[in-house]
Amino acid sequence: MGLPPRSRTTSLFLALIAVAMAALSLGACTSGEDPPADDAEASPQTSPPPVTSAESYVFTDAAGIEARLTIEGDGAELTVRNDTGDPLAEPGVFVLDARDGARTTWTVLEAAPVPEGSEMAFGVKRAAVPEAKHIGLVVMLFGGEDYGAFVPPQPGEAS
Amino acid sequence: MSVRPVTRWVCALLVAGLVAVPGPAFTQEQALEQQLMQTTCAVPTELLVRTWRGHRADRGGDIELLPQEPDFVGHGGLPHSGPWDYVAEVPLLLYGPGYIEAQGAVERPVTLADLAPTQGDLLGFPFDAPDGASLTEALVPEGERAAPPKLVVVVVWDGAGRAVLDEWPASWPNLEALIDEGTWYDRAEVGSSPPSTAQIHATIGTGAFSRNHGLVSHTLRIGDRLTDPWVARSRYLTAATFADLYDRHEGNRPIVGTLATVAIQLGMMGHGSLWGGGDQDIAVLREREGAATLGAEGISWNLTSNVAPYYRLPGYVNGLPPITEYFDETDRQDGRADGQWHELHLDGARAEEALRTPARIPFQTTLIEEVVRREGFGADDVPDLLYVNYKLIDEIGHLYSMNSVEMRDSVKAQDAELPALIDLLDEHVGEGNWVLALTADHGHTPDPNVSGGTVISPPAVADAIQAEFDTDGDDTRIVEFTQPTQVFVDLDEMRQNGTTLEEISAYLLTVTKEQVDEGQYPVTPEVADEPAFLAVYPSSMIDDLPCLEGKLPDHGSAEASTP
Repeated sequence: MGLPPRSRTTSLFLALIAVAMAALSLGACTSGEDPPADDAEASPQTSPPPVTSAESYVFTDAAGIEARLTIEGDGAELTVRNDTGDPLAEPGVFVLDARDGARTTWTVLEAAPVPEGSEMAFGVKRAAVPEAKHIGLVVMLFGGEDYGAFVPPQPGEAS
Repeated sequence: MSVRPVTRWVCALLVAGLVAVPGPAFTQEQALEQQLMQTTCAVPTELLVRTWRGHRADRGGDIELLPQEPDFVGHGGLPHSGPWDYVAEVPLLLYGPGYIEAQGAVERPVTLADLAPTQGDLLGFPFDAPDGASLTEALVPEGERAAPPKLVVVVVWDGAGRAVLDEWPASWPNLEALIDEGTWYDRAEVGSSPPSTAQIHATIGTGAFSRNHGLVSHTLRIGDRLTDPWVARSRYLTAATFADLYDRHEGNRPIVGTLATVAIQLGMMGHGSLWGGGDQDIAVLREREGAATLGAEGISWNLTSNVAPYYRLPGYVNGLPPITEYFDETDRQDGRADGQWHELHLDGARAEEALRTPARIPFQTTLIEEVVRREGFGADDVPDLLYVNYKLIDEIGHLYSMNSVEMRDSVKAQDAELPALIDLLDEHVGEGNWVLALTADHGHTPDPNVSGGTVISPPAVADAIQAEFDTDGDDTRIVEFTQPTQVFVDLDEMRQNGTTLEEISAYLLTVTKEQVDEGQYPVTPEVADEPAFLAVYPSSMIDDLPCLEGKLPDHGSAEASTP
């Protein structure tokens, strides 16, 4: 971390302000205002049950996101339905290799935010490795944040 | 005179004597950031290292809270959450004649991320753990070992950290007797903070800390929601476990299973059939369907509908003797045959109360024996993996504290079962054919009446923030949730109120114990005016602390803090 740039604020100024503001600051810290109600404990929300198909990895989120990743030849298609009430940041995908757990990022082409109430489809450029048969986990990202894994095709169903 | 809020908090910290006067080269915002870094870097490095390993910007809270030990943040029961030694340090014994060196204590510091790659070495299937390395000094040299062991058993005594065992040194003679027959890591720790069940079991399974496996605490953020780590099955565990890879590599021929209590313990095993090419590994739990809390147990063995699609519950498990079968022997363990174990009733009509007594230990061991026998764990030359969690010690820690006589007797009862576990492995797998790794996922919190610690109330912390900063008059709160180590903040609402994480952190550094006292253990007048927190800082700051530079892999790298 580099040094911050110079500014007009000096240590003397800060020290003077410190004295001037002491009563205000400490007064605020010990104010006798009645506190509002306790912050409610976050109650777990149950995600919808897994929905799978032979062709697709399916992602559902209790907030109102439904995504489907369909592997097609050397690429894949990603559709995202956003019913969260807010725009969704641009989608991304990474996969874990079922053989060694190695992480590989797949590129969502022309990735863009998904407006509330809309469904968007994106092409996905897959890395050569892992092949589809060696996918361990496919993970959904929005704005680079990890939203969790897709549900894979179930055993006995060809992908 | 109007003074900008940021200046106000710079000043407040100066007046409180918490920081030194910043140099002349800083803007007010930078000065505040520097001051927060200064207070944070005064924290012992090992506590910051554990916190960094547990931090994920996308999943975790927004503000870190660190009281001065022995104070802690808790509400409605004793938590075990924080970076302190008493929760971080755990027993770690490897035992297995022919496979594990009989050398007693080893002083090298290790973490539970080292267990998975050690399993890999034992089974000849190297596992490249993100944060761990094989405990090679524990292993008999490869050339001197026979074929891989037929079974590797990982046993977690939930909540039985070193602080608990050290508090009751006479209560675990059987474990102590095994130390010299195996390898005992005297400086083992979980590795990351906060150390709760979900994240540390996932560390055992993945060889990764929360930063890399994604389960950062029992409340985590997914997008804009706060949720729990296993509500979406194993979907939030976005790293491979050793069992995921090994089982698939062997064509799912190994028998892999977890015999535990609740789903948050499944991370030590893995994803089951959610993992590509994986099968439905055995899982036997007793989690209450639709429970409001993660630790809620039922009386029957089950899998909740949430996780059931990806694991297999053997149908015979509820045909085993019920827990009431073990009431008589439990009744006498506190020295009185009075239908109670201490104050808890051993009564079939109140069977769930009995889950807080040692009756649950033989009840579970009977299950283990039956599953090992009927499923054929260790019965052929394909090495199998068995994961076990015994949860009584954790329950007692929450209810009565680690200092209680109930804890003394729980540790004693848990330890007394160890020979039975070894006997059943010898009988069904064969002497010299198996390896045991015994550990704990965290310690427990000393009773404030013993430690003199102040218990800080999460709701009071939230209320203090609300009262100080949430002035826009709408119904949306700045504070979404407060847990023992973190505050989750609605960042949009925070900005709408014209404040920042730095200002909130600085304010919390000036809050006194009296202001946020939990009430159950009243704060004494001598300490009432002391600051409640040793350090408070925006969580993302942990990536930039100058005092951690050079002490951690990838520290300071943007990539290191993203999934």
